[in-house]
Amino acid sequence: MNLKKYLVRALHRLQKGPGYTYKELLVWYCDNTNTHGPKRIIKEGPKKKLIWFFLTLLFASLVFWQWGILINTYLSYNVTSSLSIGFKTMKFPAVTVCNANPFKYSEVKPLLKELDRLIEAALERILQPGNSSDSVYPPLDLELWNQMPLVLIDEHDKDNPIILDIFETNQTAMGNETMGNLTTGSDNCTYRNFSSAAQAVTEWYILQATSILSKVPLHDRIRMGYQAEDMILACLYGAEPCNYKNFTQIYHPDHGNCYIFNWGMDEEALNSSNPGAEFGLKLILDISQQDYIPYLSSAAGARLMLHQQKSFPFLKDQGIYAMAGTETSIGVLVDELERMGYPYSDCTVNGSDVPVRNLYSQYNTSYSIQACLRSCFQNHMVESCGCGHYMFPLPEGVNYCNNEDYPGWAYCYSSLRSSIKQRQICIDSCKETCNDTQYKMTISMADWPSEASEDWIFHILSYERDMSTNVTLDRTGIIKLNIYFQEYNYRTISESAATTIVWLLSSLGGQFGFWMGGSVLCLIEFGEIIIDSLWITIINLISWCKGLKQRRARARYPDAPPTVSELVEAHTNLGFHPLSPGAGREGTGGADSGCKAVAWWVTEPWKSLKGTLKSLILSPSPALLAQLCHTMEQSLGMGPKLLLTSEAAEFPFPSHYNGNSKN
Amino acid sequence: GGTGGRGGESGSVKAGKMPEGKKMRQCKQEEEQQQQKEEEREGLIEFYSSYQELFQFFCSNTTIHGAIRLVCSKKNKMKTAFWSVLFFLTFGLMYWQFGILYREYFSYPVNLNLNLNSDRLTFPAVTLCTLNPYRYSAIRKQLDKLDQITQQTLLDLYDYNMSLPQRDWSTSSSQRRSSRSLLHHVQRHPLRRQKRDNLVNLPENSPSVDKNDWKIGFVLCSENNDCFHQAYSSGVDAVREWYSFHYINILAQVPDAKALDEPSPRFHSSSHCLNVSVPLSGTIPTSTIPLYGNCYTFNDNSSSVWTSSLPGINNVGLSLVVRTEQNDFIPLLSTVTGARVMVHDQNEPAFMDDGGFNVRPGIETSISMRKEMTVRLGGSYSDCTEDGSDVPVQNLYSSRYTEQVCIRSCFQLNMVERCGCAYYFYPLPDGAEYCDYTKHKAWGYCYYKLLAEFKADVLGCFHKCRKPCKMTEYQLSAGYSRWPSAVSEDWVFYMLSQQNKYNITSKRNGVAKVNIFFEEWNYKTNGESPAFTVVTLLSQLGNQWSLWFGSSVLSVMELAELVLDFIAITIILAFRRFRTRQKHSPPGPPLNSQDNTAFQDETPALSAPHRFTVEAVVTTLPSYNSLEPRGLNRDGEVGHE
Repeated sequence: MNLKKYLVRALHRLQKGPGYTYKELLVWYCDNTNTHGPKRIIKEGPKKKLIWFFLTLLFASLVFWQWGILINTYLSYNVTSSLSIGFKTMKFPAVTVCNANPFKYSEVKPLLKELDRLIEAALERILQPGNSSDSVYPPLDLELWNQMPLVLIDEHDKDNPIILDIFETNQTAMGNETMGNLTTGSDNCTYRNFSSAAQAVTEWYILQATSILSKVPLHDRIRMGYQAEDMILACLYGAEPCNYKNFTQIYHPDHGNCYIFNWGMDEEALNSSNPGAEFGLKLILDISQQDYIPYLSSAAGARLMLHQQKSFPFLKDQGIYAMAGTETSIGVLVDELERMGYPYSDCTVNGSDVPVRNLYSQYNTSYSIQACLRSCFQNHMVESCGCGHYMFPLPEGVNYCNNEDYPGWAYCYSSLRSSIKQRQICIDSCKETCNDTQYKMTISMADWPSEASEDWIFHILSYERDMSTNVTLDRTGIIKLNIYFQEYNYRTISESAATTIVWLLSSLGGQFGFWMGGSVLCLIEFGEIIIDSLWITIINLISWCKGLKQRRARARYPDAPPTVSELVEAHTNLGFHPLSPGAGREGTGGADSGCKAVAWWVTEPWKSLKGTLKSLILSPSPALLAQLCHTMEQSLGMGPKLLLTSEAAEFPFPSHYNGNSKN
Repeated sequence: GGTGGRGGESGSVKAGKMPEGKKMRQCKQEEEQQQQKEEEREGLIEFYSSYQELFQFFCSNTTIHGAIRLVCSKKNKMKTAFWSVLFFLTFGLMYWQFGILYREYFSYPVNLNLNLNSDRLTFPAVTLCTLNPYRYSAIRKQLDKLDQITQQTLLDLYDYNMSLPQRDWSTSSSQRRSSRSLLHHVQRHPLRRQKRDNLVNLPENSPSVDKNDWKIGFVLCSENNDCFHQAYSSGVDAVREWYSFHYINILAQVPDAKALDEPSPRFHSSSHCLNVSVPLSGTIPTSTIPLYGNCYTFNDNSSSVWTSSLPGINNVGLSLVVRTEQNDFIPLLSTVTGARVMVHDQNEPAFMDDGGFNVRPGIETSISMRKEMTVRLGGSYSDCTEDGSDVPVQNLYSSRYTEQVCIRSCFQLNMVERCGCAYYFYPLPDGAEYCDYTKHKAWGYCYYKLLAEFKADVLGCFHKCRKPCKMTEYQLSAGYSRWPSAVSEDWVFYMLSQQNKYNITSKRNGVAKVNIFFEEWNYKTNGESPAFTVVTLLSQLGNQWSLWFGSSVLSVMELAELVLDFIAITIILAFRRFRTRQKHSPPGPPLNSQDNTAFQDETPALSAPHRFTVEAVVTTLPSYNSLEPRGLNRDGEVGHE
């Protein structure tokens, strides 16, 4: 019940309006606002008023200009970076070691027999043109050749290059020669050009050999590669022994079996708390150069790479070679970049918001931009060629490309690889990781083992590997690696926001306070003024409409209805006669409202007016009484005048008066 | 109609909540209080008589924006409520922002400044070691004996008969005694093969055991026969570690390390630097690091430091020809051929292990340096030390403080404390002696245990040692080429052997050339400057004050005054109530204060809280009241009061 009363009252309050006109409102605002300046406009003389008006306007625009700059600065999301260098206990990087040669030649020889014969014959043709010696060899299987022949391109005549298949004709052009290999598509062909025959033959051989080997199941390929116990002869981490069992095997398409130390997959990553070789990882590897595939890998050595725990090693991109017969010392400095995420920079924390399906997640590795780019390429490859490239992992339900099942794959692959558009799509969709860790290496080499000590070292290592007293190792196959932290082992660049919301607010406030002495409350004051003026406008509009209606209604009365004062007079003074209403309304709020009020009073039952008057008189106010008396005297003595202010009944609802009187 | 300030409201609420009887009693008490107040008012300084008055005065006179709105819009209840909610909301927001600002300030953020300096570069000190431990004459006999023992061990374990260089075994009685004692000590730490996780000594070549399950290591025992195996997965590491363990012991027996510093013919080099040829042949080794052989430091004395003003190899740089031939080698220690170079600042020790750079024989290694300096702000900005004087670790090195110097000193001091002797590779503290198993039988056990604790940071060395505020880093990168080339080989070797009067036997492996030069003319400096100073903090705080309330420090003072006044009033009122209760506890006092003006001020406020008005200095809206129909009523009230 009480609540209803309050609601009704609030409603009436709303209907009544703020109770003043625009000008009053403005003056009141200028007088009472807390911003400096407006007060001066109304208080000073006319000339100064103008100056103050323009000054206030100028400073207000200055404030808005500054605010614009500040908000713009904030929205550009700048960062500041801090750098720290020093030594601390850090997680030792994961170390991936591979042999440069993917498979043991002794194991894969049966598979590559045909190909080797083919390439030997081709080499002979290239080296000794014109000397056909086909009869010496058993007939070659030209099926492999015909899928992708090696050709000789004579570019003496730029416009009409002469293309010669090596096995088709004995005639070769001399001079400016370009080797190329022909890649056949289903209906069109493309040439990959090389300036050197050595490059062309190697590339051709790699393409052919991988095509052959991709048909071999994975566990057979792993078996054909180098085994951990043969490759890793000794391992020492700080003072703790480790051996090949501490390494995780992973199959790399280019390098065969790779072994990762400290990958952090099963057990905790190792920490290193001291710099120096004595506290790092020491490895002795054997790469057994005798068992290299002759045409496949022309570089001999171990491929190694340092990377973060749980990240996939991309050896082709970041791997380094270690030379046989040397001790390679690698001093490591961890270079970390910690970026702020969105909206400060466009990076991803764990790759979950990247629209590319990460194919490397099957290795349970974390996201990296290389993984993303490769997955992106592979996805495109599967889409356009129908099969996956052997270098990258496969999505489900897709096979690797080979020449038999997908004869046009090589053409499709090379056109996709050279497509700039495809590359751009991948670069655009892949994001960098927010926390980027790189391992800066200082690599140096010395001869190992020394002439003086190689005797006992080879003996002991051979004995440990084969239990034989004969030396089965030699300088061309043995590699020592020392991987350790440098004196300063980390350099971290971390970003922090240059502008925070606190900064923005205080700068905004500072500018506002500096130019105009204002605060947030002043803005709210301003808002209040706007609401008030809107309120007035609405109420005026309503009253105007009502007035319009009233004017129509007035037509029914021949004479203007009596005003409130007249009614009062009529009630108190029976001899009083109302005068013309037009005279009474001068200088008041508005003709409309007056008319309306009167109209209402006329239509309203008499008792309501009586009650109002009673309450007016009953409320103990000597001043009011005095005023009443005074106005009565005046009206009686000086002729008819409006007694009460005409606005008194601007919205003369009876309940309003009731509520007011209760107050 | 609306009520006045918040004070009035709260007062009325308080009164309204009370039951009637209580209210009556309170009224009586109020009366008495008023009486007393009247008395006091005459005597003491003028003060607010109630909370309400206080708040009214505060709201109308304060410079805090918004407070004034509470007073001047009091006739509109909705607005008053709105403004009071707003007032407290902004207040809360401001203090939240203050909290963030303070937190930011006390995290002491710094700005990073990158500078590229191009002033004259001082050439750093260069230390070069031959990677070839020297067979000193003082310990030659013992080493020969150790070689023999090793030979026997290798034969036992690996069926490998190591060929030892022929020496004359003069068997004098003293030598025999010493060698017998050596044999005894070596046998205390035998190298033996063991099955994984099993201390049983296995027979060799036992076919049942997979070779991969074997480990090799040596036994270290404490004095009370608590033993553990220092195990290795490979014999190469095990044999070398075992050998170097004994080698250290033998070295430690030599009382004065200076006795080892004999000019050795190991290092014959020529060098030209800074356009001036500095003859270096016959240079006395500056230090000896047992596993790295003789070491020579160039450009170490700070009196005549070389300066470099031009980059590149041809202008200024250090060019050394190093003889890497291994003549008088120790086969089990010098497994590597070459030399190790390290670039460091003057007055900093060279830790060859951490920052060294290997040089291959038969190769010209061109090492280009890039200098980078980091200068940190000390104090509360980052945890660093200017000169190490505030680090609780005694600096055992004679050089400047660096982090590694401190960590090594810390380890050494712990070693002396725990094991009673000092580790041979680190400098000797005062009053200590180097570990040696003739005197300290169990030091090996103690050392390896301590090392494990050190790594796990049980010793706290990594916490105690702080980074230096200023550090210099040299980033090295290298290029390699064959040297001497096939055509120039003959005359180069001829010249070198003529100059230095020795014969180079192994041509390719005999010499190495090192060039060290600055890659760039300038060097990089990473500096720091405080990002958030007191001035910034104050201006940010001021900005916040200004933003939310448009006020200044003086407004804060006003607030403080308000709080003080509030407390004062509370105390006064409480004191009065206390006194009234004491005075008139049994009978109620007579109602004799009808003519008390103060009473009249107060009582209506309690019974009809909205009847008072504020004597606001604020200019009220002109004709605001007069416009309302109830204005008459209101005017009357005002006039009445």
